Amino acid sequence: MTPSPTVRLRAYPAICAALLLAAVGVHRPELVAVAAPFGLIAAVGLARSVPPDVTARMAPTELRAIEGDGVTALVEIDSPRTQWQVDVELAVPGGLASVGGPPRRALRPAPGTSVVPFDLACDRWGGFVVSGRIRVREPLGLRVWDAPIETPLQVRVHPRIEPIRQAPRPVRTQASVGSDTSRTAGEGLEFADVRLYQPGDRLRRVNWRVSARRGTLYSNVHHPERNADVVLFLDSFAESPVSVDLAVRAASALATAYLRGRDRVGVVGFGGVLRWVLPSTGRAQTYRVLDSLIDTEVVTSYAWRDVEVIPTRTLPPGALVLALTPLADDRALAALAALRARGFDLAVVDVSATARTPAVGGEIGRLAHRLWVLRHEGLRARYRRLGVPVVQWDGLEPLAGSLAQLREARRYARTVRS
Amino acid sequence: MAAAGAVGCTALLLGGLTGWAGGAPWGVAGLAAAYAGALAVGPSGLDPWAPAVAAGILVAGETGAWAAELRSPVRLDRAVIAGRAALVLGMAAAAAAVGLVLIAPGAGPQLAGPLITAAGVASAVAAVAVIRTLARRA
Repeated sequence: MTPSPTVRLRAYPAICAALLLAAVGVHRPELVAVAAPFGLIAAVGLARSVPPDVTARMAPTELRAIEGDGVTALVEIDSPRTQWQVDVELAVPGGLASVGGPPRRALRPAPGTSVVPFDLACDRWGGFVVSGRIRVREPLGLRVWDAPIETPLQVRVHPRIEPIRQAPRPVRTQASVGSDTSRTAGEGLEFADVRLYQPGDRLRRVNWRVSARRGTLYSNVHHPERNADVVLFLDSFAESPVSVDLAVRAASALATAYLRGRDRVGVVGFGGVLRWVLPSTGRAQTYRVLDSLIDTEVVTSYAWRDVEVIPTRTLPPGALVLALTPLADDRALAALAALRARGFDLAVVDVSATARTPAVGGEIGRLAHRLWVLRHEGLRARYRRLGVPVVQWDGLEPLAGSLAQLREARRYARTVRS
Repeated sequence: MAAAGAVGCTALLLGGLTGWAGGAPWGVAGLAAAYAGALAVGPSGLDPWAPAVAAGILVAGETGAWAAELRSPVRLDRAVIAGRAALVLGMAAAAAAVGLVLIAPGAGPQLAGPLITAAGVASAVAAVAVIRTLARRA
């Protein structure tokens, strides 16, 4: 622990000396009586000052929560003897808030381990590091012993998941069992067609009605239930914090919905910093994806990036690429166009802040706002011309509504292509 | 004299209201200076209230320092409040007792003289030397 002198240690000896000199100067012994307590405090305080040998740590060191929930950070203080006063202070980052008072407590710990709880409210999604310090005060207050809390607390706050009943379905399915009806024929539940009986067909597959009518054996074939690959393409180039917030909320809801349906979900965070999570399935993948999403932040970068920088394994063939983008940065727009050109099944959710940002600043401001909105509409039209369905989500309406529009647009787009 | 007292009170108030840590020492210095001035221009007899003044100045300084500390928001445990209050009261009582012991010899004329003056000077020098040694060791 690091000692630091308080203002008393500097002031009291000086006051004592000054009063003693004044007593001699004005020949008044009463001033000695006034000086003596300050001198005694300084002398006794320094003589009794010893390192307190106190340590503090967080327990546990990692917590998870959903936006709006509360967590309790516990600080364990180990002390070999009773301390006069220990101040415990947490540095609570923005996004978390202390509940029930300031995140600072003064207590008198007994020998052994004392636990100090701090209730924190998770106001916003994100990954937060809560550090802290302890200050041990002496009874006469001449020195303060300062030390950081050994291991900071990591709080991972996942965004509140919007309920989605039906997410947009990929055109192509993969080999594993899932909840999507494959277009190919095989073993499954949904009837697809009848064909001539082949050796090896199970007897229960024989369509006896058709066989009796045609005079030879026919078997039923079905559409197998398969899973799909979905890649969430998160554009984190800077437009506004609102866009990133909307993108992360939408991506969290979509990832949870797809993973619940046993699809493989991957994430590509395309921005100043490139992040990715390889497609996979299962409960562990849910946490991997959500952890990756809450680490998303706007990192300003002027370096050119294109689709070449994305690792190949993050974009499996036949995957549905769902782009969550404010359609603001040319690098992201070029990457999406390149993905479309490579034949990926691409859909775009526009999370621009245009709908939530009113025009300000008089006539010029209104004009600038109109130009901004027009540019966005132009970009959306450009993607539609490429056969990419684009819907807008401003966060004011439920995400499910925008996704329903996306499903409709994709159905229409497929009809046009065929 | 009055100005020194006013400066002392203002410094204490400022420290308590704004959290300025230097408010309490400057307040104590101001109040002590005012008392020294009052003694210098006052009657020559020994002031019997000196121990009480010493205790009062100390209490003013300690409570001023405590008020300045409490300007930064903190949740105090009851034991801390009780302990701090008891400490301030105990220090005030001790200051009064020490003051009483120190001025008692001067109260009676039979003890006055060069011997007691020499002892007083020697103890003052010794006190400052002890504090300085301890401060250097810290």
